[in-house]
Amino acid sequence: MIGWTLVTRADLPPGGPLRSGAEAQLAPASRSVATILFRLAAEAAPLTVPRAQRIARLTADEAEDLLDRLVMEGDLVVSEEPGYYLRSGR
Amino acid sequence: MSLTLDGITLRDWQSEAIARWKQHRRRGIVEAVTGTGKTAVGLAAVADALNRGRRVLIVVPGIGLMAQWASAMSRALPSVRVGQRGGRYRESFDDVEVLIAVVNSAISANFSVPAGPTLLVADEVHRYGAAGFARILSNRFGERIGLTATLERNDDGVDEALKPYFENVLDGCDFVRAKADEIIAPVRVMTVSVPFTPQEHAEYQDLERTLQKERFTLINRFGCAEEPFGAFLADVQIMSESDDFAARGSARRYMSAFSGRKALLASGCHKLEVLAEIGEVMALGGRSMVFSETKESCHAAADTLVGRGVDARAFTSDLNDIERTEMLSAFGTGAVTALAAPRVLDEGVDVPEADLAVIMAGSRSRRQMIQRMGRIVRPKADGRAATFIVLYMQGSVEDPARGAHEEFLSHLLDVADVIVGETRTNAVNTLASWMGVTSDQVHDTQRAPRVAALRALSEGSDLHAPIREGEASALLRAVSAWNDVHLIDRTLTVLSVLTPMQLRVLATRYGLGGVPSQSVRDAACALAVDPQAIVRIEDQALARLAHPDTVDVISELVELASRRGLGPAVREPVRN
Repeated sequence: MIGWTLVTRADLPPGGPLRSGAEAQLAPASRSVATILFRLAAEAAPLTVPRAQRIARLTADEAEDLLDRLVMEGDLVVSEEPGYYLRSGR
Repeated sequence: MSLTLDGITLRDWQSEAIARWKQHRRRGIVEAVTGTGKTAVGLAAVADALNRGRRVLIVVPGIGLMAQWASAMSRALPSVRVGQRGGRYRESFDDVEVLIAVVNSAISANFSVPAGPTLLVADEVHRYGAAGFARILSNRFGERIGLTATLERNDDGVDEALKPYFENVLDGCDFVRAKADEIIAPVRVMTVSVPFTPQEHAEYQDLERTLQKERFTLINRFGCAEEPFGAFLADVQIMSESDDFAARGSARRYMSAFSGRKALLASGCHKLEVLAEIGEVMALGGRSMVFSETKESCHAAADTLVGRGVDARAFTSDLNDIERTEMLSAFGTGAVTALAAPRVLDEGVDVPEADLAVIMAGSRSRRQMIQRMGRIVRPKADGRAATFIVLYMQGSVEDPARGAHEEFLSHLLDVADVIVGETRTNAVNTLASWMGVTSDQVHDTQRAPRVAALRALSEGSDLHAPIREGEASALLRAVSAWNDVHLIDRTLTVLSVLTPMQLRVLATRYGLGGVPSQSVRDAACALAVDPQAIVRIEDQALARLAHPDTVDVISELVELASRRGLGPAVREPVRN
């Protein structure tokens, strides 16, 4: 990457919930913001509806609707194993 | 049912102008300076005509004004069927009561005027004194109203075409009336004397000598008019294409020296330095305009202001229509806070109001100066004053002591509440006090990371490092460096408070989502905005993440990343 040095990836266990609980207080993401968030999230790991929901704090229907739209627009593809959305071209 | 104007109560001068127009057989030109509401007079005339069963042709010089009239009509007279003719619009009187037409379309062979009684509303009427456009001044229109800020032309079109056709020039609204009626904001004026550098002074004197010598020759040997100056210049222009070798040479030397002097005065080195100092106050907010004469001097002025943290852009004829619209829109939203413009901003462009004008180069054109004043003196919502700073080169033709700026200053002085003449040293302090800004605020702003970034850009550098350090920046660098899904997801959750553009800028600059982090200039290319916009948006995004609703989450995520050994990546030095 330009600008800073990439250090080797570590395989670490996920952290626990944050003390403040402030994440839960944030308003749901708008559709346009959620669309960008989902593209970024799918770069890191296959995206599922629950994961998308957590990131954007949307309902399952809203998250799935947006993910399907991203598939139709060619940004994401559905994996062979149902329920996983991958970044297209990867 | 009688039509009335929705949402418009005519001002006293507007009602008086309409009454006078009716008294004069509904024929006349109304002169009203920019910003005082001449369009409302036109709308009142339209309503009057429609109420008496007339149809109306509104003629405008360009597509921009056609759109503005269409919008004004739909707001003020929503029940009226309105068509447009010009550009991609091809409507005719077959289907509408009011047709707004660009003059080029209205004088074309396939344009037909309705047979019945019709009112002609000629906006920017001074334009139609030109021989080609004067064809619109048809006797088919029994009722006629012309609207203009300044009924003035360089040729004889006003006397030969406009006055005979419209028959009357009716009192409208000059700045003095506008001041009396409290239509314009209080006005403060500061003139600032700026010295030449020795090199500029020598160059200036050379140009002056050439101008004097050639003017003498052109008047006494080749018969150019001595006065008024506009007539002299018109003769010189003609002479520059003459078959007479000597006359042509003299005229071209005069014109070259004239342009050279104008450029020299507009871009005086010390003028830009004063502008930079003024820019430190401008960086604290408010919308400003810088008026100059040449494209080059406008770019220099915009670059100078950017270096002091002002979101400034040059608004020149290099921009296409879409770019102009976008820039004016950005000026309206505050994404751009200063426009440096030559004449291109002077007429027919709907510009959001501004508080401060810096006049880098004066103009001899009364119309141009009235347009410029009108941009600034519109009343402000909170009653604050309009401020004019007039920079002039000491001892030059711009120096008020030599009678320069006479036309402009006389208009300003007629309505100014405060007038001061300042030296360069005191100008900034006076401006700061007028703006209610302390020197500490000025210094703090200049120390802000955003301003340092803008200054680096204005000096030609690029920036790879984040615009500002802090926990949000550290977290984004950690997310970029480590493909840790848990940390990424939680960070994305926090980033959801941003606008889409803020999110895109941070993702591009920090390299989120598998793309490499990009410098400010590269990010600007990738996102098709200018580098200053990247700096502003990145700064705003990082500031947003410091709000109370996100700051604690970010602190905890930084702590979590640290506990798990996911520190920010090591940054490389800034690459210039």
